[in-house]
Amino acid sequence: MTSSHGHHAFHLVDMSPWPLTGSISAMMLTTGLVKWFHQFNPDLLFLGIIATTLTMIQWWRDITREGTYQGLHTKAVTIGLRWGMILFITSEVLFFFSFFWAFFHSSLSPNVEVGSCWPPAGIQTFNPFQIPLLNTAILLASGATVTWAHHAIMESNHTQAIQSLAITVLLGMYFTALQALEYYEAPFTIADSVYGSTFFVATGFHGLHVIIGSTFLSVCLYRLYKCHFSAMHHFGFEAAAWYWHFVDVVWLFLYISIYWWGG
Amino acid sequence: MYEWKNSTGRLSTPAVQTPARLGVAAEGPGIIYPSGTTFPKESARGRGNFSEVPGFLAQKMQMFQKANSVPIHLKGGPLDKVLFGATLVMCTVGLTGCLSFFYDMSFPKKSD
Repeated sequence: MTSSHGHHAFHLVDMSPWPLTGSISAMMLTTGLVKWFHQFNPDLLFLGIIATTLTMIQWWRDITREGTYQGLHTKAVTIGLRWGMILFITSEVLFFFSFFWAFFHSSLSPNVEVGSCWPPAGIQTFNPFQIPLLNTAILLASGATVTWAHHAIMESNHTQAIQSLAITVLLGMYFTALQALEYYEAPFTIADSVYGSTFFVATGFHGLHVIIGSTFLSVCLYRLYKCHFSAMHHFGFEAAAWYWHFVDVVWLFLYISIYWWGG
Repeated sequence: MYEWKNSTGRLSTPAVQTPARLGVAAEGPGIIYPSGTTFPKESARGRGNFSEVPGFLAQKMQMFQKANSVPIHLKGGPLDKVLFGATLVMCTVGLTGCLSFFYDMSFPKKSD
């Protein structure tokens, strides 16, 4: 199916309602948060979460339809998608950079209120060589299995592609479960001085990104099962793999600086 | 197949015939395989031969390539309309809720 607007390799999309519903959903999320804080009523927030989720499902469903079923993702289009994903991940790197800045700001020169020491007086930190080290091994292994899946896809080895991508998703879920357990068992909370703030905000946002990455990989596993990916063309999978490697690298920085050096 | 060429004094394959008409591809001499040569079949790995699109995927491709002027977000069938309707309703209710909240918060109530 060639482009319906002249003889060029680019994709001029059909009219779509999702940018509008996405914008309205974002307003519902933010206004809903404010309404929850001021009037103790989370109804608008919950409606915003559902509307945002529906928008995301339908928008990405439509992109899959345009690429896989209609064949509109030419080489030129794929290059644009690659740049888009690279720029998005770069923005996420900058997002985490700010939390690392906050951590080092407080930990390199601990103020008198925390006891002029780091970790602050009275904070019982996690042993970096227990669950955090296991989590490091899990994410590193998942980086290897997602690379295995990529090579399997490129070699048209469907069985191994399914197996390795499934293992990657399971490892991601294992990490999330272990981290949730750590959060539950933690002897300090987010309110325990700037240590608690920097620890839970940085690891919390990282955990959210692990959940997002695991979801992205799960969708790819489903698409792989449905034979959407060919040996030469599987950008959705590549984007998920890039995102997963980014999540892995952020964890390595978290582990080295907050868990190990800061512990 | 080789033939003696007086011009070169050697055995050589026959020359490609220059076609009489423009656009006709010249056919070279066919490859003669030794008798008993076996040819490999298209290899099938995993769920089958990947040079073919599986039936269920081909059906989807046909459905979404029908020239019926239906936009992509509704082209999958009645479930698309249901989901789109639900999203629209939620956004309308939500937008009204936001505006009502802004109005409410604009007039702080005095608590006695």
